[in-house]
Amino acid sequence: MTMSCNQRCLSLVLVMISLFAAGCWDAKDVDQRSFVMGVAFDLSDTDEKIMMTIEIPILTSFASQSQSPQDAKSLLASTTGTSVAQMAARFETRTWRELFFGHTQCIIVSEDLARESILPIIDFFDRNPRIDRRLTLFISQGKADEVFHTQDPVESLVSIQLNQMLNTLTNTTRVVKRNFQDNLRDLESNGDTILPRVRSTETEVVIAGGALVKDYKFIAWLGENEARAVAFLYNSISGGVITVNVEDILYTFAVRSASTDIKPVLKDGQLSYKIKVRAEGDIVETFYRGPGGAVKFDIPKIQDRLNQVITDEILHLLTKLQEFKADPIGFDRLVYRHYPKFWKEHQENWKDQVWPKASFDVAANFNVRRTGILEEVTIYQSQG
Amino acid sequence: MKLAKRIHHNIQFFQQQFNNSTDLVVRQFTINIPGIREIAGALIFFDGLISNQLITDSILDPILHEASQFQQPIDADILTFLKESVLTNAEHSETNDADKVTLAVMMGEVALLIDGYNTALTIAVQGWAHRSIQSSQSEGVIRGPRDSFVEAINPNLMLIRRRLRDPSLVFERIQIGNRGQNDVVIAYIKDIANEDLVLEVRKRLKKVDLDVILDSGYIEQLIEDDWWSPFNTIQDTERPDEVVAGLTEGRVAILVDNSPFALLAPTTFNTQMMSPEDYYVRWPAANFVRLIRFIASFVSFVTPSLYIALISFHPEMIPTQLALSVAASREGLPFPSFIEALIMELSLELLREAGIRLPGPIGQTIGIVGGLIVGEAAVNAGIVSPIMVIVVAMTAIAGFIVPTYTLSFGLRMSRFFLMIATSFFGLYGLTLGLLIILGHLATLTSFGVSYLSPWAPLNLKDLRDSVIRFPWHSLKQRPRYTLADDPTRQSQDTPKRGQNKQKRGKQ
Amino acid sequence: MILGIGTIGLPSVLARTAGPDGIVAFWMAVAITLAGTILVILLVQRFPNQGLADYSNYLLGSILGFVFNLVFGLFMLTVVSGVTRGYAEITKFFLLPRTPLEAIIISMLFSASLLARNGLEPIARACQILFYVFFVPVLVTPTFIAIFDIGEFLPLFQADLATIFKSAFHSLYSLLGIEVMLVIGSHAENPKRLMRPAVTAIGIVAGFTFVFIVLAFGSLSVPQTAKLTDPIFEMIKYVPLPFSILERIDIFFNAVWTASTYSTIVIGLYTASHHLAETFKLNSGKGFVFPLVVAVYFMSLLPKNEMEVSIYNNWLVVAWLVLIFVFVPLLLVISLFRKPQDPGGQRRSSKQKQKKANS
Repeated sequence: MTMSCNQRCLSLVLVMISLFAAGCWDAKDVDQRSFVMGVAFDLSDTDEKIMMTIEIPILTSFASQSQSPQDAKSLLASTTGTSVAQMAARFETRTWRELFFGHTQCIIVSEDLARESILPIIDFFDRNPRIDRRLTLFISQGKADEVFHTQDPVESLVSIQLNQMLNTLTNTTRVVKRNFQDNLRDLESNGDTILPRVRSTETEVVIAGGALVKDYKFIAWLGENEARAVAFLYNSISGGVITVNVEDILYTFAVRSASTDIKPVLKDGQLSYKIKVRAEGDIVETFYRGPGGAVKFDIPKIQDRLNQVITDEILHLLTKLQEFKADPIGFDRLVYRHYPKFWKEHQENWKDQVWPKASFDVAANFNVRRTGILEEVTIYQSQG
Repeated sequence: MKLAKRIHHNIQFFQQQFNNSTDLVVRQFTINIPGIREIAGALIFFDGLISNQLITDSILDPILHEASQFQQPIDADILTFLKESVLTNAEHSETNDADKVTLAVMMGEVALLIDGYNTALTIAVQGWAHRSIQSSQSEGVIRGPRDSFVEAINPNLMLIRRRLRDPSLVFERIQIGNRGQNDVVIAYIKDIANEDLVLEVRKRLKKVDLDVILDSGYIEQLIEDDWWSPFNTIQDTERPDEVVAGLTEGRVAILVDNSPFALLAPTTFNTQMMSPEDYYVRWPAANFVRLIRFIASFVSFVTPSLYIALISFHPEMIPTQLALSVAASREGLPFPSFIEALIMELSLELLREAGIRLPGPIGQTIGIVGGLIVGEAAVNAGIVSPIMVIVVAMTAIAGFIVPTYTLSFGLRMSRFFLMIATSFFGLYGLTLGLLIILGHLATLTSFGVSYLSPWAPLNLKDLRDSVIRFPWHSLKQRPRYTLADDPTRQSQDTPKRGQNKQKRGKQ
Repeated sequence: MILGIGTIGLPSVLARTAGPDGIVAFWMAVAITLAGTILVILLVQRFPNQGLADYSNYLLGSILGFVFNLVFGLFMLTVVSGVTRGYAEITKFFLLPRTPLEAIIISMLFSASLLARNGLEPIARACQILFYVFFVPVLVTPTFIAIFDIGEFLPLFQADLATIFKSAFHSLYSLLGIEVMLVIGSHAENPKRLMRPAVTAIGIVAGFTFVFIVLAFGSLSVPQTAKLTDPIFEMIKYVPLPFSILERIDIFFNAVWTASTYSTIVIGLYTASHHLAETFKLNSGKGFVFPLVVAVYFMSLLPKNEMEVSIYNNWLVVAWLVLIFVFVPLLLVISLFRKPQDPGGQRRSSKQKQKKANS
């Protein structure tokens, strides 16, 4: 307030010098960056091991005045190399625009590469502060770069489509719905996780099922039916339908909300887990192809059947995981939290010795709340 | 300098004093009262400053006609006789000081000189042409009084006095300006305004040493606390209701002759974000408008910089689909976003300035030509992106929402500072720029009051009238920042909540 | 100093050194800080209207006092340069990878010095406004519920005491700040009532920091928190904002954090300059600010890499501990034997709420 004029002028000059001395180092407009929307990694035939394919949108085709919707929306570029950063740098020989990973939607690793290890691939992305960790890491059945070659006339970019599909699905539980951050959380805890699977034909991409990763290595596929159990165990059910057969009638139950509670129990040195599944929802369809007859359906029976189906599925998955000696759900952390002493003793041989021997007590509790706008009873009355 | 006894000396003196200026009128006449010899008299005044009608009716006519018909002999001397029995106007004074007479004549009074007396009567018969009271140009409201100050000071004082029939309302008139001798009036309510504040205002006004005060802006700039700041620490307003509201809050108003803008001190950032309308409409509406105003002001303040930061530095923050379409719309543009934003923001300022200078109807045309045609053409020619046009339009519209014109100047200039800071360091530069501005605002005081009051220092009671306005029945206290002597403005037994409703129920 | 510079990395350090017990370690650090605060305030209260330079001179003798004052000044400069460097490192990494560190440091120091020159009252006002800004990130916290896992805090009390102490030592860095009270405490309107605001201020800082630690642990998991260098940014990036206009808000969080660093540097610079002015018996520390900025600039460029930055910070904490728990009690004890003199009220006490200045 009482600064003299000279001092003020001096301050101003200082500001100007400090600012104009060098200029804006980091300014790079959006149109000067190549948005890498998707990255695919494959094993390469050449000496250099890995092939990296990136999907870059062709910006002019996104302009609102664009007249030719038939044009390709994206550009695919590939290079081979020994490390991810090295390959990313090599793209500079193909495009003057700087590669920008801030909007990357998905990373796809081919199954044969993933069998070696995914750790070196994801480290580059894990380390990069600009990466949005809500992207999806896929394992592809077959070659990874082929996923980007699919032509979907409706969608603009395969990468965006993949990420959107995974994030918006509500009606199916056949997909492992996990994003990069979720996976990293698992991986950094014990090196195991379950990644979503992607496969592609010439015209479409399908995300269904999952890939079991143990110690950063892909070891086995999980089928589409197993994906449901995965979702229940991860407590990440947001919807989906379950069809059960009660007395030859198929009832389809739509899950509205579900939660899973897992508790470790240690008794006489024997480790077991209490898994409680609670779900509620509606019957959205009864499907009957038999000769006909009056049907009055029995909600307790349907609920029992649902409980049975889900319990079986979960047990099946757990047995499979135990066979592979993999623990992607984080059962080890539960032990660590509740029985830290036991954990300390068995920390070293957890995956090999303790985990495969653990037993489970699965209790599912399904509640049918509504049956749609129809009465409980199917109206059709057979004449015979 | 004392006046002489002989009238022709005096007339000669005044003619010399005013350098025989052509608008000086010396009307000489002879008073012929029965029983007394004829006495020479003269009126000295400036043509145009006085009302000819008044001179004729209240001075010349009585002296020349009625006085001569007076029958009784006169006991007292002629001057006293004239003063007490002949002149019919309301206001006059007697002096033997030639300088005082000179000043009075310059202010539009008439000097009456009588031969044989070394005193003169100065008679107030001012009557110059002034603008009639019109509605406010710069601070219009929909709901509320529309009158605004005019250039002449007396009607302005009338506008205040009419609203505030309080004997404690004080107008202190002083003349400032070595050559202009312009009237400056300090207005305050004696038992509300803090005494130190009035003393401080008086002290600062005394220090003003200038040729002529053409507008209250001169005074504002010479008595403000920090002349370096882009932000004004004294508020100006042309609304009498705003002034009266300020006075009752314990502020001091300064009115300057020939200026339709009154000054209010102390002024904080908060007081300048208020529009009088906020108090006239019902409080939910007032709060809604105020919230929008605060948000919009901030939006218009940072939007261009935010645009630069997001487009050039941190595109990962824009939603993916939007980022793609923004990038597509910028594809092929020749300039970096900072230059783009600078061009557009500068042309916005250009349009605004041109709109003020040009006559009314053409001004609107310029707005249309500039805004629509040039904007559209610039986009089509590939000089700026459509998003930029949206950003500028938002800035412009939101920028007009700041109710005080002077404050919006400060904000507009700081906006360019922010843009420059952002162009170097992205969002970090924007933050730093905002921090520098905040630091600067924190150092500002207006007559000892923190510019950021009531947020800093925090005054919970005053917060009732800041971003939100409480209903009137909760505003029983005057704001604290003025350190008003009498803190209560509604007695405690004024209508309480729901009281009116109860009454209706009983009927 | 609401979100001290260390806050960003603190959850990571805690998770790495003590696992879930990091929370225990943090509260231990808070307790240590509180003890330090009480000592400092007790000392300040014994000498109302006197700065550290005055009473240390009086208590230690003029030569020893002078040396002590110089060392304290140097300590304040070290704190400021440590904070500046730490801030610049992270900003460079997250926001401006190509901008030279020097440019970030200069711009930050320059902006801070503009305010630091203007005295305590404007600083207090600016800090008060910034204080409201700090609540913005807290408003976001409810959105974390969706990804929050309370189980991450188990098991508690598993680490041994040595580990917890070590962890607490590291977290002290983000709780530094009470030492400025030694200098500006003398401006308090009513020194007798200084204790409550000071403790409240520490409480608020601790509360804020605690919220962030809890969120980082609960939403990122302890192992991941330990792995990341700056878990709070990653956590903010991951926040599932409903109806967000922007893809992510981590950079806005960075803005809030810039503001808090700014206030820390401003207060630090002011304290250092004011203290030096008192040491050399000058009226105002204004003239010291720009030379100090130059000194801080060079000091902050001393560490060569991130590792050295953390070593630098560790020494800072050691120096702080020595100051608060050796020198301050020493001065207190001496003051019990020597009756405090009356300064004659030569220094004008400014009407400031100390709590605000401190935060």
